[in-house]
Amino acid sequence: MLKKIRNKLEKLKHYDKITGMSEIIRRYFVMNAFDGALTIFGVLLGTYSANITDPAMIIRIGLTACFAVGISGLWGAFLTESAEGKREIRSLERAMHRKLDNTEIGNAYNTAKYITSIVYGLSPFLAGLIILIPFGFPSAFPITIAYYASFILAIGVFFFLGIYLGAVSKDNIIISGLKLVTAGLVCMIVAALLGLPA
Amino acid sequence: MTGIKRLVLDVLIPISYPTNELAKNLAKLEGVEGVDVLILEVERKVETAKITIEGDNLNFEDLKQSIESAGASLQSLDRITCGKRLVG
Repeated sequence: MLKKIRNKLEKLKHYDKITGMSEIIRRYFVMNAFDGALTIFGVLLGTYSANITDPAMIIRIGLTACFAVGISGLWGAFLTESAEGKREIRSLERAMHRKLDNTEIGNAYNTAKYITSIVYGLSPFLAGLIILIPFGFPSAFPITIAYYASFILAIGVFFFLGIYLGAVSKDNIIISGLKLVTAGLVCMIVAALLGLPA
Repeated sequence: MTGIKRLVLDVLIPISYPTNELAKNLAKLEGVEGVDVLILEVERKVETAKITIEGDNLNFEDLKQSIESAGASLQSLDRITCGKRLVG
């Protein structure tokens, strides 16, 4: 069993060398997770301003938004990566004067398409889901506390994503984290300008 | 043993395919004792390599299949050495 998993991982590493998918995944993981987190943050600002105090309703609205951003990421990525992969394979086939279906090159691009799609779909979904956690325990907190806890979690997610980006680019991770938190603050300011109590 | 002892192949390899992996995969095949990959030319999408394989009773079909299944393309068989000892 362990050997099978190790072999699969080895194969994935090999496919990564061929397609360079880890670099694409890393870039879009942050972008999509940020999208998901900011969307749910915006949804929660909206439900807060509309005085929605039923945790079950907030969870329903939030989960629907989470699924929407998740499906959007998955679908969009699948179509985009399929097209890009096909283009790359066709161009290689022209250079190689042969078909590349059922070769390691062909399989690598095919696998990359599925893996990137899953990551693109899961990252915004999970980032949004984390922010909704406080509403999952309706008996534990009053609804206002749940809202504030969610907002703090959202800022935490933005900060974490910024830290991750800072670590990737070997920049100052605190400054990098604050850059993403600023986006959340901009969202709150826009909400306030729209007349929402941010 | 009078089987194939050395093969020199002209192979077109996609540039995105790690050449060392191709060499290692060939080296794992039965009868193969050594593999040498010499890159002759690098283009935008592909590279041309001269692959020398030495061993005892080499199976050409297995080697060809390993090269083709990687996504590379065997252009020509440039040299073949058989017999009890290596000549040349």
